[in-house]
Amino acid sequence: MISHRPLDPSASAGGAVETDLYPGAFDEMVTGDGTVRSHWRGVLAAISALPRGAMAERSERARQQFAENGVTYNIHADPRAGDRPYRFDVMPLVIDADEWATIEAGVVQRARLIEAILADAYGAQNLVCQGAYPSYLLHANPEFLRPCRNALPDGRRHMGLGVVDLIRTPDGRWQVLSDRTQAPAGIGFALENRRVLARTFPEGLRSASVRPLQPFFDLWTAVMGEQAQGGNINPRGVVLSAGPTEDNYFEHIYLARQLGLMLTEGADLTSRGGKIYLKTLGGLQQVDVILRRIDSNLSDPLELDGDSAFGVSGLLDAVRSGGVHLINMLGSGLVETPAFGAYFPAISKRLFDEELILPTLERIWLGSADAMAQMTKDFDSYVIRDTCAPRATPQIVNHMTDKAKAELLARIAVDPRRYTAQVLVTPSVTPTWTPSGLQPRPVILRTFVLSHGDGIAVLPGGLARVPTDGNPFHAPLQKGGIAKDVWVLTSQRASFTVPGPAARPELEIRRTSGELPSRAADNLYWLGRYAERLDFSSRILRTALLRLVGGGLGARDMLELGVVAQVASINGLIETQAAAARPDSRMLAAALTDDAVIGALAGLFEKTAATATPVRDRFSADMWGVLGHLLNDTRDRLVKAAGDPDRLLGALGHVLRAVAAVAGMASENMTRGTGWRFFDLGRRVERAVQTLMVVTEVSYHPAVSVESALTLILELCDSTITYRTRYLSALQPGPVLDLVLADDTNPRAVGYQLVRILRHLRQVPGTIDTGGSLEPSADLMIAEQALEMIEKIDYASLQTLVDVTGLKPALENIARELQAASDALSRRHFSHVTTGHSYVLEVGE
Amino acid sequence: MIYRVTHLTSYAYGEPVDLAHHLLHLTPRHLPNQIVLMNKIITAPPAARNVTHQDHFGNEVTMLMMGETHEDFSVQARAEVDVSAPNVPRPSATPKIANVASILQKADTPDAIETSEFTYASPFVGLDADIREYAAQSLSTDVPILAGALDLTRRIYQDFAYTPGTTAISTPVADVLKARNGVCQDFAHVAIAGLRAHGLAARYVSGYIRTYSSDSSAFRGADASHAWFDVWCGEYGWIGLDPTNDLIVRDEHIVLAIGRDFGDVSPVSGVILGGGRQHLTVAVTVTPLDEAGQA
Repeated sequence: MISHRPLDPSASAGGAVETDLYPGAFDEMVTGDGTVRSHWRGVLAAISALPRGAMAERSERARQQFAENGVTYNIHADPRAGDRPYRFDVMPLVIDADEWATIEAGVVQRARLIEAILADAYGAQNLVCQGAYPSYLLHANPEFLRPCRNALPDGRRHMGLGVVDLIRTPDGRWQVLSDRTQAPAGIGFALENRRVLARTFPEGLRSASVRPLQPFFDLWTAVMGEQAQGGNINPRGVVLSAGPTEDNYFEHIYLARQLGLMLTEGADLTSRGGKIYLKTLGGLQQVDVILRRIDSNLSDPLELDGDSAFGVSGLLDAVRSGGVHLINMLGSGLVETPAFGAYFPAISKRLFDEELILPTLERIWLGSADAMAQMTKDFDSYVIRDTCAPRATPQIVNHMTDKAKAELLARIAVDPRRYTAQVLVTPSVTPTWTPSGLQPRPVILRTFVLSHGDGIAVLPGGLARVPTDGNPFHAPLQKGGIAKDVWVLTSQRASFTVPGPAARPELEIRRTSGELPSRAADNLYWLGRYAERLDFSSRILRTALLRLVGGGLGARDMLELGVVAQVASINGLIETQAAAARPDSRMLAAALTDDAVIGALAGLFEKTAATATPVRDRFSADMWGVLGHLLNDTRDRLVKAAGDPDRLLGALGHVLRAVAAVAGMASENMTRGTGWRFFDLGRRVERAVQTLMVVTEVSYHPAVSVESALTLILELCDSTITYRTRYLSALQPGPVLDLVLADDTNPRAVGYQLVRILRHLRQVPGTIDTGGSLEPSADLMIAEQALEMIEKIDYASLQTLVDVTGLKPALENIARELQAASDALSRRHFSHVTTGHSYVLEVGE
Repeated sequence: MIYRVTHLTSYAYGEPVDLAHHLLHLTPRHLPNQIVLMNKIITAPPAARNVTHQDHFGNEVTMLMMGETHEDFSVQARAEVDVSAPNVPRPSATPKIANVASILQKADTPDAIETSEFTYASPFVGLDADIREYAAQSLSTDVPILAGALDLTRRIYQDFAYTPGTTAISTPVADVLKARNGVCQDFAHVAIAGLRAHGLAARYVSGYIRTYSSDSSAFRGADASHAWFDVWCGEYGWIGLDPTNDLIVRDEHIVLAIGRDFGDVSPVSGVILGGGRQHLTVAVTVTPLDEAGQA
């Protein structure tokens, strides 16, 4: 019987010890007579040596680190809902060396068995034809993908990375709860857990000889490298993700970094002639191996689900002809169905003459009358699972009302084949930090296995999860639960043999990466534009509010407020009607602070987020942190300030500083590669366009005086200080316009933007399908014309406001040219980002 | 009987197509009663990649890739096929429905296990109470299987209006059942669903039916690719029935491909980049060759 003594003295005072919550459960830490198992002593001693309350503080630090590192489930599916926080327990699950040896052998055996079953199902199909498992599990299984039959070239594996979820039954045996073979998640979280724990609870890790995780990842990196097709000396691997809306997107980014792969979505890849290519600004680059993180069915609209927007048409064809290798192969999810495991023991006997080292937790497929009778007799002792929907929530019969039980039974009776009954067992419990100290909680152990060459390796560790919804048979990562690190103890520092770097040719030193995916370039360009637009919009609103809150509205404030309101309406911040209202009217005051103007700004935040998130993998953690601050904290502050001009002013100041921090981080931390160029191009184009708009609108306003016009232009273009240092307080049209339009030493001037735009355009690679034409691109020529036009203006001759308004046609012309250059750039680089659509010829017309 | 088949499918695209992948099931199958003497698939523009493989059901699949910009796409499939009439048992001599269903349910022989694949719902063939009820009238357990399947075929022929042009390819069986109209593939899907809902095995057959020049003897579905179904009759194996024309398949049908439903064997499908609005033309002729080999 369990009775953990509270180990943190600070916690014991208020917290009651919970016992008997999980009657009969095996206790991971304490034996039946209350003795602490020897492999837990190290970590417990380390905790005892810590000062009072330390573990609570360590927990908080760990929480912060996960938040800072961006570890979340689902970061962008609903920007308003925000990310689900990651819950982590600093108390690890400790497993001793002997026990691990059994688990490891069992997982290796299972991986070999699963590979054999998949190879048979997609090959000769002897097993099903000989009745080794029911036809239903293959033929009615939505994960049996018929186009994949005989598609995998000899010598390749169906399952590269697999997951085995284990649960320890009261008799002390680890048993298999489920097999995950599709695109199993969690290994990135497992590694991140270890890293955070190593920083927040180093005494614990030092207290025992814990096997490191890194060698497994080194092996994995090497395995990915071995998959080069056709003797490519520098094999290219990519992660194929469904993108930021995916629950486990964090892990996709994480694994891409960890394994040195490029993070891609279906739109980044294209299939030509039985090979897969990455679409980059520098052209098509062959891909040798794909770490597939989207479901098989969605992976190839040509042969699989034609409606999928995530896949690559022709992917399966490329696999079939040996042009690319997938980890895991399409269709590998077949054996995830909970019923399959029931037949593993017999198949293991048949194929290898081996008993399973790790038994499958007992279950019966209800496809026969006998099975139904057995299940019905003892209904309460089962958990009902969907035979063909491995991720559906298992129904714990014992937890149901009588009415619900009767309904479930009736549902099963309609088509019993659709259900599988798994015995209800109590999982083992392991010490877990709770507000009332260390308490026993049920735990599931997720183990990871990698098949490579002739070997199979198991991660010496894993992801332990404490379910929080009372259903231990179902703990998908994104449904919450508490994660734990898993410590596998060892007497000696065992490790994997990793093929040395000597096997691979030396890399040429490069200072460019012509391989920026076109989609990433597109996103970075628009990220630059939206971030800059956010900056200008905030500045416009701030300029207006400064006059609004300035006490009694003087005549000049009134006038300037009216002019800025006009600019704000041009930028879509407020209604034209409100902008035309009297500057001292309530209507305008309300329009400048109400939900609508905040909504307009929030819209820009969302566009910025939508372009930033897909290229998240291209930013350093610090850069992402700064972006995250802008897009979350700053935005929240702004939204909360709605209706209050004073608070709004403060919030707008934060926005401006946060945008500046992003720009500063980009300028200091991004290598001057193509990605940075596109980001900066976007900012420059937007700033030039906005500046031209401000100059034109302000000077053209019918009511404006020359003083006010020049004040506002300098303020909106953030050039007031520069002007004052040069000319003191005398405002004259010539010097002001020279400063904001032509001066190529003023980073706010249009001329400065154009010089940089031209520099970038001369550096970005050509299009994908040019035949190597050397003619200057349309965007470059247009931008050159714009610069010429800006430089041609005789600024010294501008004496009056009338002279300035006379520039309007010229300035509008330059703005149009810039827009044309931006369009030409998009056509040149981003147009092939689009994906195809599927069609099917109708029959019988 | 030897037939010459020509099947032309052409698309005129409204906007240029920059990249196209096509998947064809246009090669007639080799079967005990069907010998393929010649077959050829010609496309315009020619494909940059053209590979074939055999699919799970034993059909030949042709995969094409076109990487150059083009505004039209046509595929012409030509074949010469020698078709002989199968030995069709007397319907009353076939095993009772209860027996066939029981063999499939037990599925304890390799043959029954393989066949059982065609007893389950599939993407285009959903099984529900309505379709089960519709078929029940024909499929009493003590009726011989072929007699029951023929009765179901006749009822579909009578109860459903043949209305080319009214259904999209993805019309679910339940909708066809309600609307009581459709084209050959819908009728095949209804029959297949009805049989499977009663624990029987039925599969979808895509192919052609002989073209007659005079209207009076013309088959429905002869001017395009056609579809019907096979029902499994125990020891007699698979027997083809055509609910669009209310007949047993003898030697006037040419089999292209066999699958669970339309989705497994659609003659021409693919993914294209661009294309805009498209204009489609399909022409099929199936004519017997005389002994001199002249059509």
